Amino acid sequence: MKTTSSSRRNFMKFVGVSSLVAVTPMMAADTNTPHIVVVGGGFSGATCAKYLKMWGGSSVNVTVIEENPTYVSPILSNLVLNGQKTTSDLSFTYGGLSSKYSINMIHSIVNNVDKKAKTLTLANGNSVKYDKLVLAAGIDFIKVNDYDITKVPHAWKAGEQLNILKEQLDAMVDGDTFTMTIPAAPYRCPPGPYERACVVADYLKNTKGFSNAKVTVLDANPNITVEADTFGAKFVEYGVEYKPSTTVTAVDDNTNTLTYTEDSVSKTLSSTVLNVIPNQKAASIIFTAGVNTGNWAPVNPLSYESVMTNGIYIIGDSQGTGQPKAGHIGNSEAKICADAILRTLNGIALLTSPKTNSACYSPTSATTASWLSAVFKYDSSSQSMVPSHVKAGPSATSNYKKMFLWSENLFSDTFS
Amino acid sequence: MKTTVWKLSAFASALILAGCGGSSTTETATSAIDSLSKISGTVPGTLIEAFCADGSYYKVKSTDNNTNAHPFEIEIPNTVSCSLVMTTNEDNATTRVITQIGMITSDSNGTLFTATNDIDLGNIPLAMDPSDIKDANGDHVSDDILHIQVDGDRIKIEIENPLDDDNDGLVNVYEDDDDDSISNYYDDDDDGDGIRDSDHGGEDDDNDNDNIKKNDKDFDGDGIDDEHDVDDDNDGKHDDDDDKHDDDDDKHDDDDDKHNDDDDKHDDDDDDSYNTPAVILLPTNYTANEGRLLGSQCAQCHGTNGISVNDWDSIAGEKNLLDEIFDDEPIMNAQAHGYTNQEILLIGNWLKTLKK
Repeated sequence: MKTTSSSRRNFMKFVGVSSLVAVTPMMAADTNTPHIVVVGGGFSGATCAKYLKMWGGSSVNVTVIEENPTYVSPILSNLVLNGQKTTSDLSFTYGGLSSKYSINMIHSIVNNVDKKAKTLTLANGNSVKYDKLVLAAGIDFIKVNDYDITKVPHAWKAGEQLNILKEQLDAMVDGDTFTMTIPAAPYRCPPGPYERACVVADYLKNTKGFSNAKVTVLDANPNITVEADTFGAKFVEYGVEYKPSTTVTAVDDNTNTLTYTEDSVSKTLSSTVLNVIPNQKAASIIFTAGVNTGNWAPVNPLSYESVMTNGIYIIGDSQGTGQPKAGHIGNSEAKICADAILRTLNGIALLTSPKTNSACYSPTSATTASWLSAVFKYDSSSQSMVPSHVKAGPSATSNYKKMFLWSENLFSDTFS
Repeated sequence: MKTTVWKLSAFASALILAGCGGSSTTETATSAIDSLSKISGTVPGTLIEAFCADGSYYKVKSTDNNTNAHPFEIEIPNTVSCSLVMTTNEDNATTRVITQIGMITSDSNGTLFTATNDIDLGNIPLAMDPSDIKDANGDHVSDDILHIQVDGDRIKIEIENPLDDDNDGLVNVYEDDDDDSISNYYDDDDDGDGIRDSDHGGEDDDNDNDNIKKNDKDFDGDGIDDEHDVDDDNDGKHDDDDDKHDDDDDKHDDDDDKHNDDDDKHDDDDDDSYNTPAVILLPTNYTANEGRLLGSQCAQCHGTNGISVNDWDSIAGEKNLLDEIFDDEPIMNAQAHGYTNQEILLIGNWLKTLKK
């Protein structure tokens, strides 16, 4: 693949060599053009930047600050485990989006947010001034103790972690055990862990032909959180041992042993492969910026503006509206946010009845998939987004190909 | 497409096969592929083609042995999945019959397969007369797939077929995208845009109906992007070998080892996975539009501004939204119930303003 380096991005790389100089990119000619900085280039961040420029055009300058030059989609990533996809199949770069929509890209980490000066300090020493700040940085993990995630991977952010888990899975022999833990809600991608358990169990049983490999699922939640009928039936079919209401209290990466509580009793379990998906909270920048209440960032769902600090918007997995944390709805929230920012900059009232939607296909084997669909509407009395129509589709081969039609358009709407 | 199962064991040679046009030329790619599997069998005079998931292409003509059963052998990689298409009377536009071949094993079936071992398909009863096949659009491509039963230990059926975007079993190159009764393979203008596909020196690289006139990522329209296509012009030669053996073809060749196309005529210049235009016209100011905001929520499944990148419906220009969304896929129906009639009206009005 080619990387097109526009002169604009080269400009961005080299400005502010002196770290104390505040930089407002592309504003030399027109200092009145508002500068919107989006931190995070995943499903919500990339979509927000794209739609800000698609709808706001040259009336706004948009910069995305994303640590990684390549984004690996968590959506479809469980198919890396059964070999149907590779992480490179799920990788996206930003060159096309950047040049097509005139979006500035900076690949760095934000170390500090000065809310008074509206200035970000980056790990590369540069600083970036913003008029509006959108935080779309995803999730962080709450580990129960310090252990080596290259030995006990979460594989809940795609990329290297996923490849580690894939290698461990492929090193299994018949009779070995695969144990995964599901975090307490809310966590990223509600069906994802159950989907993973199904894909792994199917892979071990039907692809590898193991009759004695055992898959165990320890779920911090009292029940399967979504599509319980579909995943419950698949667990029975695959012989997955499912233990609800279990709380992981310790992870030992030397012996691959979990300590967990079940019915108030502390137990231990050792497993050939241990896939601990820890409990989750908003990305660290939410805490750095001081826009969290508890683990998440409360926002006004009409705009996704922080209820704590004007001019800072939080979309995607870090936001605390109660909507699911997942790529499809992150893309959906980003459009509401982009439109609201443009309305605000133009002195136009916010829409009072936004609609967002969530949809996802989950593979349940190498040939089948299920789906879950929901539309969320704004409830003015509770000032929150509430599901107005939720429906699940059963596991079926006909859904398997549709899963890729869905993901291709979602990927394209986000990154192209 | 419908399926006709052909069981090898059950076959009795009852067909009268006439008009065999077989010659005995053979053209098989020489390539970096280490291991090949040999697919053999007998057919009426036939062109046998294999389209493979790495973009490679192989073809062979059956050998006329003065019987009704002309033998053929075609070698394809044993690690890459491929799809077979067989054409009788291939040199005659009015009598040719094109048949997509499928494979059936005891537990699977499909038109894309990896031949892990040599396979003898036995005698394959291909139709010789267009009137003998079901062909609704008259493009000489049989609407039925001829499935052949084979030993599941010798092949692996693949579920996801990159050579078949609409998942009907028939490879892309034999679809009739513009519905002009000429399949893409024989159509000088696959997408009916009035510009001949062969005018590559001009502005049109567009063999694949993606409406991309320049920077086309899939020159031969087989569904495999040039970047990943080891034979991006389906000339039967691997691109790496092309420069040495195929001088007439320098537009689609490859001087490096990545199988991509360094001349930039068919590249994916915008560095994304989808070949959308590299630059779009952005507005100079913001105009509020409630229908656009509501309708932008369709894009996750139907593409930005209603233009889908795959076989799911593009909804730009949609005129009957209300009918469509409640009488469609279950997941569409589920989504539709989340919107009020007023909201659907706003979305519909916005979609009508979009160009298809």
